[in-house]
Amino acid sequence: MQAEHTAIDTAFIDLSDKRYLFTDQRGIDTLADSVGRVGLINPPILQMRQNGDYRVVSGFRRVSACIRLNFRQIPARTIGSEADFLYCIRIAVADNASARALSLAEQRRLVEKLYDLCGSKEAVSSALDQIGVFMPGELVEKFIRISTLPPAVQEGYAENYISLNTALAMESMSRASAEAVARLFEILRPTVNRQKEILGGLNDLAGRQGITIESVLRSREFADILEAMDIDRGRRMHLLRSEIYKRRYPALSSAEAEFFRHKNNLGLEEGMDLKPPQNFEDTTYTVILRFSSTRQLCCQAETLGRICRNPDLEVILKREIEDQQDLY
Amino acid sequence: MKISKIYIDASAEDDPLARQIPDRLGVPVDHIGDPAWLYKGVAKAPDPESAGKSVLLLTRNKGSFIRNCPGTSHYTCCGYRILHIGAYCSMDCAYCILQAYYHPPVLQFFTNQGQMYEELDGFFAEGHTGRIGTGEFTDSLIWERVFPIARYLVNYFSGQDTAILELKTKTAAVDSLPQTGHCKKTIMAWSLNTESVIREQERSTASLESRIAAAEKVQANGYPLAFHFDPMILYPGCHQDYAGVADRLFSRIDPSNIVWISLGSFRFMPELKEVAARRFPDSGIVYGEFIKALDGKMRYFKPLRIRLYRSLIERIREKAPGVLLYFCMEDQEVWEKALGYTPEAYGGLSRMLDMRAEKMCGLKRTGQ
Repeated sequence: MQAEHTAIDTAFIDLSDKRYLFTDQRGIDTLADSVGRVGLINPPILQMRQNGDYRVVSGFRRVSACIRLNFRQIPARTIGSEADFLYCIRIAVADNASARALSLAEQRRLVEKLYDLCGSKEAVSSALDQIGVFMPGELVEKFIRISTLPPAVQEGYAENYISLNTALAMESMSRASAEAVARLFEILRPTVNRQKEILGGLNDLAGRQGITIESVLRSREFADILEAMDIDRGRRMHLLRSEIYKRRYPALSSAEAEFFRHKNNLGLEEGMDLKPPQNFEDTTYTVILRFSSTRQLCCQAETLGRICRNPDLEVILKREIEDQQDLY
Repeated sequence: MKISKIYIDASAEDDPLARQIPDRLGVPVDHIGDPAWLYKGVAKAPDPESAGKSVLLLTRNKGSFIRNCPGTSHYTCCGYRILHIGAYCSMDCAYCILQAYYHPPVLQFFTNQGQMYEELDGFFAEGHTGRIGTGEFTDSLIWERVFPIARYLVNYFSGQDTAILELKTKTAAVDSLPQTGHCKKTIMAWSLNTESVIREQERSTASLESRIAAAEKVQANGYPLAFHFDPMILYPGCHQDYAGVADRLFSRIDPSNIVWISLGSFRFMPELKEVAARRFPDSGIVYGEFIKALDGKMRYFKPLRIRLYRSLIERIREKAPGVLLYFCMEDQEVWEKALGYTPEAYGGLSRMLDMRAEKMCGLKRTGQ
């Protein structure tokens, strides 16, 4: 790198020029503490612009920390304005990667920058090779796809409340639907598995009703859940999932409710349970007995005898659900 | 069938059909050493399932021509046998399982038919009552322009009396079938559905009116008939619509010519969901109230299936009390609740259907 070591007046450094910014900008306070105690060990790299002031090539956090400490001048390495984008970004990558591994978010921003410049996945991969960053082509492609998603989804991914695969699954949605889901995830912060479940459920509901996901989420029941700020997040998540399930499987959820209603009338004792077949497809029910003494088992056996004569058990085993004509 | 190119697999090059079929179709031909090359090309197309309908691979059936129907565990199978003449279909139904069954699906027609007739002779010689059909991996009547295999098979089956051939179709293409001489050893069968399902889910198939008209035509020529309400699909108003189809059917078809009517609700391998949702975004068919059934396939929640069957059965029994009804892949509870009995009471479903075929098609049992 042809760079000149010099002291630069911080007033001439334009931090709003983010041409080469791809790194995370967290922890500036901690860095400022460190710089305050031991000084700036590794000078940032700046590029002179046509108008004579400077943009940062590498060291955004370092420059920010120095400004926060009211340094009027800082030591820096400067590159001439004639240096091209690829050369500068290469310097930035090398400077950062020499200190630590680039995070996934940084890698994504780097790909976005290169994609803006190069315009194709192949060219980005080749540029990454040139600047010494190894990244599988599949990941490059995914990062490029992320960059085409609505900003709310990109932000969710950057802020880590939308997973990479969830974000990509939102590609086929309308912009409004993707934004509505991103907002939902921002509020409820579901785990990756829950994101998949919720997205799948909403997608099915929308397909079932022939409307968009945004329209599904605009319905009163969902809106009420999302806006119920007095209810904690975990409870709202439970309510949301229940609502999706009830709407997605109206007959099944009604049969489940009916089963539990009759089961409650059976008078099962502690340690006893009755399980229906999965989705009521099979006809075999399971009784579970948990006991720790012969006395307890004898009590359960007596209860079982009573249950066998209970009309609610007959209803359960008859498996006639209420007429679902209104559904179809 | 709109075929833009024929590919001939090296293994099929010497078969007479590999020469006859290109002459009949008059489309460009390419000889390929390995069909994998073709599959790869089709798989790369933006819509591989459509691309596979525009090319025809002439190849040899490297396995058996006669196969057992791949019934699944827990559900009652009818013991049907498949005559594997080719694969895939020129029509385009949203629910078609072949879209997910083959990777990717490509129209294929098997050229080593000598082996097929040998296998049939062996099967006939066993003397078991047999029900064999060509409509499992393809539609039975789409191939007649490529090669009139249905006509040949009708004639072949007419020369024996131990097995019946069932030709299942969603077309009205019955003109190539022999008008006489079938000796009732071929059952002409139509898949029936409501106007709404045909319009929205069964692209490029014949209308309900055309299917019934075609059935009427072959009825006049003495063919025994069968109908399959499969896949039945739930949607608002479906119960009335299916009953309406039964009304239309029996206003034109004499129930005494019907060997059997089967009922089956839409069921699918989970892999189909993604394909159908991608190819038919307005269909909505895969978003019904499906649960994962005991065989791993997606099925409507059972009480919904039972209710759907009951309403159609009620109407069919009203119009044609003597017609044999059966379910394709349902369990005993569904049989009991929708039909009022289970096949075991009659020696099993397979036996029930065999006996019906013996009675209506004049089959004779010579084996055990």
